[in-house]
Amino acid sequence: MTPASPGGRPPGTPRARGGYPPPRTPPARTPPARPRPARRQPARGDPTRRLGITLLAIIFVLSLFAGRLIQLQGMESASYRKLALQERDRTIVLPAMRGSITGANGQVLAMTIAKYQVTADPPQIPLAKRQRVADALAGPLGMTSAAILARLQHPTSPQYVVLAKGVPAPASSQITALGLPGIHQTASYARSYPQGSIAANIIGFTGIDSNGILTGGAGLELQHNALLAGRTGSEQVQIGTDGQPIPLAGSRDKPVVNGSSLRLTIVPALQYAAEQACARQVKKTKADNCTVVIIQPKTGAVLAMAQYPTYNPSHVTNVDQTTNLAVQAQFQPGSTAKVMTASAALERGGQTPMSAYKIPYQIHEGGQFIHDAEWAPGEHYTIAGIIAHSSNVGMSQVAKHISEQTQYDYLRAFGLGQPTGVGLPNESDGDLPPVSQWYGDTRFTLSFGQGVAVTAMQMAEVYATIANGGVRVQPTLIEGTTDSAGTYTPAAPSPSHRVIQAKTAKELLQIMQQVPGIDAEGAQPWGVIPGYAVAAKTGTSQESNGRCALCIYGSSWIGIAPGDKPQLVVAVNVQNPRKGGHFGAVVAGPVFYQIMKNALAILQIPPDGARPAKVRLNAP
Amino acid sequence: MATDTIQRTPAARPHAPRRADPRTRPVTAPRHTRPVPAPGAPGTGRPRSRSRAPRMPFILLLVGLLGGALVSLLVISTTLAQGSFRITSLQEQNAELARQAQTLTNQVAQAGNPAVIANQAEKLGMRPNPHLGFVDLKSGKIVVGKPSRAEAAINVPGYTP
Repeated sequence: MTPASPGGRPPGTPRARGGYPPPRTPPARTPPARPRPARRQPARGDPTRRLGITLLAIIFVLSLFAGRLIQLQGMESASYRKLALQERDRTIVLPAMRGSITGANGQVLAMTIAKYQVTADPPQIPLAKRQRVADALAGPLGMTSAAILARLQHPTSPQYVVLAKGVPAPASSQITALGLPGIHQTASYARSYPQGSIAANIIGFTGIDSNGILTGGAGLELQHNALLAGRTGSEQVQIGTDGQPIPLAGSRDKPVVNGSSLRLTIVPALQYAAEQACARQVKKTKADNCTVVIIQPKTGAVLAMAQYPTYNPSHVTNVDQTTNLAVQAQFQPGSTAKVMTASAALERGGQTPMSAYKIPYQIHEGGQFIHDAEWAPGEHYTIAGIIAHSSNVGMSQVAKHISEQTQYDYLRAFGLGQPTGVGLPNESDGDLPPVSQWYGDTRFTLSFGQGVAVTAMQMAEVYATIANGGVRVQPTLIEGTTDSAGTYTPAAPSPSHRVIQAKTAKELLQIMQQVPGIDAEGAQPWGVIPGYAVAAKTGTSQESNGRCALCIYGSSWIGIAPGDKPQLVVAVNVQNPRKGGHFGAVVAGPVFYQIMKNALAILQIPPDGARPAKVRLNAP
Repeated sequence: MATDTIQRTPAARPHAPRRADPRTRPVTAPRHTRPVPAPGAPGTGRPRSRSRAPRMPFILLLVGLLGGALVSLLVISTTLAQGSFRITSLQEQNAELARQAQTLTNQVAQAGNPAVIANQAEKLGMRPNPHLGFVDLKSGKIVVGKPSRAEAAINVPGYTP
C-alpha cells in the first residue's frame, strides 16, 4: 500500500469505485481540482433524472413481478393448484361393509367378515431370527415352519412375499400379538356362510370384482347386490413428506354407507329339514333331483325352498351347480295341474263338484288315446272323484265344458307361463303355449298337466291360491331390510289378486282333503297326520330328457294344512326316480310327510282337530 | 500494516473530524431553537446516553416472547401428537374389538347351524321324535299324538331318565 497524502487521494489516481467523493475541505488546502471530462458532468450533476431512471427501472421490474404474479395466481392458478393437490392430497378408498342375510328368526345365513393377507418384508427380519419367526407363524397360519422359512428365503421380490391369504381374524390377532418384525397384514372383506350349504340355492354366493369389492354371483346375493353392497366411501387427506396424513390439515370425506341387511322369510330349521328329506329321497330313489317349496298362503312368504343336489356357497367350483331348481328348472306338472281346469269348469263350465261322469279305460280325443294310470274302467265319478282319484279320462271330459281360451285364461291366471315374482334372478317363465299354437289334443293333455312346463314355485303358488280362498299373493322371500343405521323396515305386503271365487277354492280344498284317505288305502298314508285335515294332490308326469321323449317320470305331491284354516303349502317334486317306483304318492309322498310334520312342529301350528269334509266321490 | 494503523487514528488526521466536539465548538450562532445548556451544567455531561433506551429489557422481552412461542408450539405439537397417538391406539382397539365381535357372531351362527345341532344332539344320544305331540297348557292334557319314549339310549351327561 502506498502512503496517501494528507489531503486524500493523490492527484491522478482513480477514485475508488462505488465510493463517495472525499469530504470537502477548504479550497485553500486542496490542490486545484483537475477539470473533469465534459461528457460525465450531466450524469453526476442531475440526481432527479438519475432518481427517475432508477424509479422507472424499479417500476419496470416490479411490473414484471406483478405480471408474473397475476399469471401464476390468476390465469394459471387452477392448473398449479391441481398439480399441488395431486402432490399433496391422497384419496383413501374406504370399502363399505356388505350387509348380512338372516333367516326369519334372525339366524345369520350370510355375513361379512374380515380376512387378512399376511406378507413379509424379508430384509427387515435378521437372518438369525428367521427360523424363530417361521416357527412362531406356523401355528396361526396353519403352515409348516419349513414352508414359511422357504418363502422368507426365496421371496417373490426382494422386499415382498405373500405368506398366506384369507387368514381368519383370530389367527390375525395372534400374529399381531407376536409383534414380529417385517410381518405385515392387509385386511379385506370376505363372505362367510355360517350355515354351510343350508339355503345356498336361495342366498347364492359372492365373488370379488375388479375393484376388490364383494359382488353377488347368484341368488339373493345377486338380486339385491346394490342394497347389500352399500356405497364405497373415500377420504381425501393431505400427506406430509413422510407419507403420513397431516393432522388437522382438513380432509374431504365421502362417507361410507354400509350395505343394508336382508331378513328373509326362510326358517333355517325348516329349510334344513326339507333339504335333508330331499337328499334322503334322491339317494334312495336314485333320482336326478328334488325340490321342496313351503309357502304361507296368506302372506306369500316362502318359508323354505329346498333342493338336492345343492352346493356350499363358500366353495363354488361350478356355476351350474348354483342353479335354483325351484325357480329355474321346468317340468311337466302332471295331475297336480288338474285343479286349474277343474276351477274353470266349476266357474265357467256350468259344472259342480257333484257333476257326474262315466270313466272308460281310455278315450280318443284330438287324435290321441287318453287313458288313466290305473285300471278303473266303468267307474262313475263326480268331479270331486275325478280329482281325488286323479282320472285323466275324467278330466279330459270335464275340459270339454270350457273353451280353449277359458282354459288358457285360467291356467294363466293361476300363474303359469310367467315368473312368480318371488325375487330371484333368472326365474323361468315355464312354458304355456298360447291357444293359437295348440294341437287337437292340447286342451285335454293340459287338463291333466301334460304339454305345459312349470316350475316348482309356480305349482306351489297354484295351491297357495286355493289355500288362500282363491286370492293369489305374490310369493316373497324378503321379510324386511335393516339399513346401515340399524333401522328395520318391514317389506311392503306382497301384491295380491283374486283368481277364483272363494266358494270354488273351498270346494277344491274339501275335495283334496279326500286324497290322503284314498292314498292311505293304497298303503301310501303320506297325507295322514292326526289332528290335521290335510288337503293334498299327487302328480306323476312323463318327461323328456333330451335323448328320449316321455321316457322319464316326474313325481309330485302338494299338500295344504291344516285343512280348515290353511297355514302351509308344501310342494314336493322329485325328478326322474329310477328305483322304487315313480308315482307321486310313492316317491314324493314320503318327503311331503316328513316335511309337513316337521313344519307343523317347528312353526308350532297346533292341530285344529278338523276332520276331512265329507265329499261324495262316486256318482250314482 | 503498522503505518496503516497509525494513519487511521484520529490524531493522525487533524483535518478529518466530521463532527466537532460540543465542548470545543464555539457557540457563535445557535442552531436550535431550544436553548443549549451551558457547558458544565448538571446533566449535560452525557447528552447521548440519556436519549438511548436501555436495551437489555427489550432483548429479554424478545427472547422471552420467542421462547414462549417456541414452548407453546412444542406443547401444541406434543398435545396433537399425543391425541394422534391416542386416536390411533383407540382405532386399533376398536378394530380389534370389531374383529372379536365378528368372530364371535360367526361362531354363534355356526353353532346355531341346524346341521351342527342335529349332529351334536345325535352324539348325545338324542333322536328326532317321529310322532307329533301337543299338550294343552290350560288343561295339561295331551291334545294329539302318542308321546313315546325314544328307542335310542339317552346319553346326556348328568341326566338319569
